[in-house]
This record gives sequence, structure tokens and C-alpha cells, in this order.
Amino acid sequence: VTRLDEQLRRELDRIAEPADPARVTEAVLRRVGRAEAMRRVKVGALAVAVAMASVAGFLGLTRVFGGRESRQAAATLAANGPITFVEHDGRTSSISTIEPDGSGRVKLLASDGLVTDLDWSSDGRRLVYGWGDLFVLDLQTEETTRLTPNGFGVSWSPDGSRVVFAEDREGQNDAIVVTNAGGTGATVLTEASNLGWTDWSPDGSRILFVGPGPAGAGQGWDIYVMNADGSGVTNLTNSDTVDLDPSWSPDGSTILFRSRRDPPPGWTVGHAPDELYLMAPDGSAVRRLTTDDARDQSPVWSPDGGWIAFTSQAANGNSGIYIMRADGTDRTRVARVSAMALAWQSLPEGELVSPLPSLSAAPSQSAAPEPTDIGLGFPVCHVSSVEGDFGSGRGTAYIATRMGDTGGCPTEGGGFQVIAVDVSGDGIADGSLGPLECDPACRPFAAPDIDADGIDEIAVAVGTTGGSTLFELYAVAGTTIRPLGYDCTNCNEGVFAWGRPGGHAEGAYCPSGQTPGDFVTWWAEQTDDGNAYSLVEIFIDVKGIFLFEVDRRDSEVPFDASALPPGGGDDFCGAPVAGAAAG
Amino acid sequence: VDEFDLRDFVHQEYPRLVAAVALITGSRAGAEDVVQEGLVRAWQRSARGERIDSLAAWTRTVSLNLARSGLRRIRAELGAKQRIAAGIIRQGEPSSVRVDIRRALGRLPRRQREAIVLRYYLDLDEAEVAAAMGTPVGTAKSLLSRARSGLREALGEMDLAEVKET
Repeated sequence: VTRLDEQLRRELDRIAEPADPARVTEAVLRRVGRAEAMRRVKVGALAVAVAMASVAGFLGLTRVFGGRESRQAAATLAANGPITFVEHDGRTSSISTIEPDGSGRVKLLASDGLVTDLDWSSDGRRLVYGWGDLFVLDLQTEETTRLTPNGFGVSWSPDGSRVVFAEDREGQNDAIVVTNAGGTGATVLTEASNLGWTDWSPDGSRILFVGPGPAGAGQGWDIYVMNADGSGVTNLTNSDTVDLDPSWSPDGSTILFRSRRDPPPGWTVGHAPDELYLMAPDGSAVRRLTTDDARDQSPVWSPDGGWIAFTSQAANGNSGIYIMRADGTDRTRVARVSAMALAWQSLPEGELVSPLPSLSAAPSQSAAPEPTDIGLGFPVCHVSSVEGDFGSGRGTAYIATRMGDTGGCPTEGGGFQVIAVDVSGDGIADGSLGPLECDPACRPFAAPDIDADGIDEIAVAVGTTGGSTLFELYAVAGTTIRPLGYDCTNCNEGVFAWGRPGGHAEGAYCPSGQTPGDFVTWWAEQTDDGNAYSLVEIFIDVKGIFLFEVDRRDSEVPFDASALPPGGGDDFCGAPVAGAAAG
Repeated sequence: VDEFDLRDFVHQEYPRLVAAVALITGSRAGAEDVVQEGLVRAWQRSARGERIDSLAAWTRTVSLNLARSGLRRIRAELGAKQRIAAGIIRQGEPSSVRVDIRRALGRLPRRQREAIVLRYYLDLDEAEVAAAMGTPVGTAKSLLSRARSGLREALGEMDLAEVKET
């Protein structure tokens, strides 16, 4: 250890000021809660936007939000995500979602052929669907992959890493098969004739499936349980009738299923309309939930376990999707459709939870301005905009504040702020994303074409610091808006600064010629002797929605505004700077 | 990462890590912010099933990344050199010493400053400095060597006797 080493240690120890750890743990835990709430909402909004964009070939879906306000839905119901269902017209199956209060019906995708199986991964991000041909739609990657050509009655493992389904093997017994989420690594758990309808237990330890009833019991099916490794196969219902569609409650304490065991007068067992039942995981304590003499099928639990959704077809032909509480009460029709399969998607990924306590704490209400409608599916206030080319000539990017749940306009930034884009120039928003994180309020900043691909990006002013405006960048693809961010682990979102508040100066510009990067963000500060600016320039490439720092240069330039790089004034990469953040 | 780990970290590591980030960025409030944000991210990662072997090393790296990038970089780094150079001179403290070392640190390029603080204040070895900075060990050694040359001159003039007594 040299004298210098020792000296450095001592000097640094002298000048350093260790922080006080008191109440820091509590502060961090509070931040975790708030960050989680924000992440859920952002991921939820993004996931839905991505899903819509990825299937927009079928439909011009445009809305991230909408239909959430439900005056009649109980709070416990609203805490669950949308119900996904399948309709089949004899040729094509369409998969749609609907809010459990019957609002906000949205068609997700269409698929040639039958779709009788649907299951959302527990995080609500991946949907497995199909009939025989099973596919997985990943909302994050926007990719659909084929899982297997011969699968039925599919179910996700609770951690989303694997799926289980019944495989139809020609000339052989059916098998219950587990594969990883990509369809590889198939393992046969058990074999028998006529297998189907699997459901993986919430703790991952057991799997329910439907198999043949006792020998000599005709065409009956029973519900079986086995360990997740295929051992310990046990018939839970042992009936001479038909028991199908088993489903674990989210807490694993109860199994929901449909059965024809109690035929109404005039019906024979096995052909009677299905009714819904509950039983304990060991097959005991069977309890009947429905007594409507209609075909009640495809029962699924709400993610919170408080509700059950099912399809019902009455003798007079009336069909619909219904929900009821887990005890069978409060039965309500959600939609008058003839649906073939149901799945209930978990929030947060399905929809925006509204209101979020951390964000909507008593927003102040004011009489003016009046709410307006820009096509988002809900009224908004404080609409500000910037024009640009977002794919087909002149379009408009909006920032708007969502109207309060109790009516009236919150202050700007006092409610959810949403970014929306009108691509086609008809004055109606085609895509939106929110809520934005604004401090205190967001405003459109500029619409420059930073990556020179012919489509303008949207710069949004998100706040101010030390007299500078902070802004973020958003990209428009089709009708989808996505934030640009650094592709480095644990780096911050891309936030840039703009302004010339005295001794500091900051800005951004699009370089030309040999300079690396699509744009440059820079800041400068007056040196100690006052004669120069110490200038830092970060050169950034934009690839898709990712920002890559490709170079960084530190230099000194004369203390003269004309010596600074462009940007920081009223032009950002050729686009006029429209406004500053509210502050 | 559970609440026990968090409390343990906050008492054992947090005070000095915040001080180190403040030495690097010149902003005490910014330092508290990035270290707490680092802990929030550790908690979230861990909640999503990722394994964090050393909460201290992980949070150190992430906090430094955060201090270096984006919004927090801008907020923390603007004027950092001036704040560091000016120092915070409080009553009853040997102002000349504080100002000298602060000024010397403040004149170092950012990465050299980071390396010096990690090496001599957080007492990391060269490999740990490299890991925390996300650089090869050779780069860390080179940064340290250049920084030491720069500091040697500034500190060489200081009166060590005064330092020992006060």
C-alpha cells in the first residue's frame, strides 16, 4: 500500500457523508409498491396495444382504453380482467374479449377452422388456442407459434414455462403430454382412450384431466387427477355419467366442473343438459351450482376466484356468456353470443385498472374546460397536440387527460394523461398509450423524424428540471405507440433535456455527415474559470424502439452560445418545438 | 431479496454506497434517489424469480448505471463538477483539506472519478471496480492509474500532519 493509497482512503473517508439509514427500508418498500402499480398499468396498456396491433390485419382496432367504467359491476368483479371467448361461423373462429360487465367487446383475432381451447398464461401475456392445431400468441413479442398439431384441452403450468394437453394419436391411445412453452421437450404423463380437458393446479403439483369412466359405463367421462410427473392417477368422480371441463379454483381449494349427472325429468343420464358443480380436490363435497336446465358449459374461474364465467344455451336457443359469484348467486348475462370456449385473462395485463389509488387520489375537479371526445372511447380534457406524418401524410399526436371517474375534468396531469395519435388525419385517434408519467403534466413537444424512416417520432415533454424541459420519445408503428428506451440492463428510460438556463445548456439534434448516431443529446456547463463550456455529447442510434449509445464525446468549447451544438432552441431535428411542459 | 435482506443492506451498505455515489455525482439527493431505485429494481427482479447472489454488488452496479444514464444522470450530473469543486464547507471542519480533495476529484474525468471512489472509498479490489463499472479489469486498472497520477499532484501538497490531528 503506497502512501498515496493510504492518503486517498483517508481523504475520501473524511469528505464522504454516509447516509442515514433510518426509515430507508420503508421508503424503498413504498417505492416498490408505486413502481409495481405503474409497471402493471404500463404493461397492461402496452400488452393490449400490442395485441391489437398484431392482429389488426383482421380489424382496425384502435383503443387501448375504453369500456372500463362500469356502473353496475361490483368492485370485486372489476378487479378481474376481460373474458376471452370464441365464436365459430362454420368456417372461421374469432376470438374476442369482453369486460365482465358486458362492456368493451373487442375482437382479438380470427383463425381458420375450429377453436375450442383457450387458456391464458397466469401473467396474462400469452394465449394458447386452437383445436388440434394449438397456437401460442405472445403479446410481448407479437409472435404466434404453433405448439402442436394434435393437442386438445390445453392448460398452462402456473409459471408459464410449460403446457399440458391431451394428444390425439392415431391408432393408439390418447396421451396427456407436457411440453415446454415452445412445444418442444414433450413428455407423456399418462395414456388412455378418450382423454381431454386438462387443468394444471395453481401450485403446479397436480394436473386434472378428463378420461374414460369405469369400464362398462357406456360413453361416460370422469375427472381424474394425477401428480405433475404423471404418477398417482386417481379417478375423482367415478360416475356412470359425463363429467367434463374441470378447473382448479385459483387458491387450489375447489374444483369446478360440468356434469350431466342430475337429468331433468324426461332426460336420460349422459344426454342431459350440463350443469355446473363444485367439489373438493379429493372428489368429495360435490355441490351443484346451476339448476337452469340449459347447457351450462366452459366454466372458468375469475383470476381472483370470486366469480365463475360460463356459456349457457337454453332449450329455446337463447345463448350467452354468463357470470355468477362462486357460490352460484348474482347470475348475470355478460353477452348474448353463442360462445364455444372461455378463458378469463388476469389483470394487470388485460386492461387498465381504474382508478389506481396512487394515481387518482382525489383529482381536483373543475367546471372548465369541458371534456371532449377524440375517439379514445372515453372523454378527455386538456387536449394539446402537435402535427406530424405518422404513416400516411398529415396526422396529429395528442396528449390528453382522461376525464375523472366521477365526471368533470381533473387538473392537467391530475388524472391519467394519455398519448394518442391520429394517423389518418380525420381527427379521430387511431391509437393510444397511457398513462404517461408526467411531472406535473405532459405536453406534446415536437414531431421530428429522428431515424429518417419517413415516419415522425413524437417527443413528449414530461416535466422540467432547473429551467430545462425534459422530454421522452415515442415511435408510431401502424396505430401503435411505443416508448423509446435504452436497451441496456437497468438503464433508465430515454429522457432528454432541452433548454438554456444560464450557465447550463442542454439540447438534442440530428447530425449529418460522418457523425455516428441518429441523434445527439448534449449538455454543457460553464467551466470553473468561466471562459468555456464543458460539453458532453452522447451519440444515439435508434433501432425500432431501442436507443443505443454509440459514442460519447467530452470537450471544451468557448463560452459562447454559438459554439454549442444545435438544439435547445425552437427546432428539433427539423421539427418545430411546440411547447414546454406545464410547470 | 426479502425484507430482511433489504434491512440488512440498508444498515450495512446503504450509508456508504450513497456517500460514494454522491462523491461521484456531486449530488447527495440524487445519490439517495439512485441507490433507492437500485433497491426497488432488485426487489422487483427478485419478485419475478430472478436470482441476485449479492444484493450489495448488484445494487452498486445498478445505482452507478442509473447515476450514469437518463433522467437521473441529467439531474445529478449537471453542475456536478462545480458542486464537487465548491464542496460543502461546514462549520468546524478543516475547509482547506475538504476543498482540496473535492476540487481534485471534481477535476477528474467522470470515469476516473468513479474508479477512484469505488477503489478507495468503497474499498473494492480492481476486479470489483471493473464489475461495478461494467468494464474489463484492464480498463479499470488504466482508469485508476491515470486518476492516481492526477490526484498525486493535488494531494502531494497537502499537510498530512494536519489531516491526522483533525
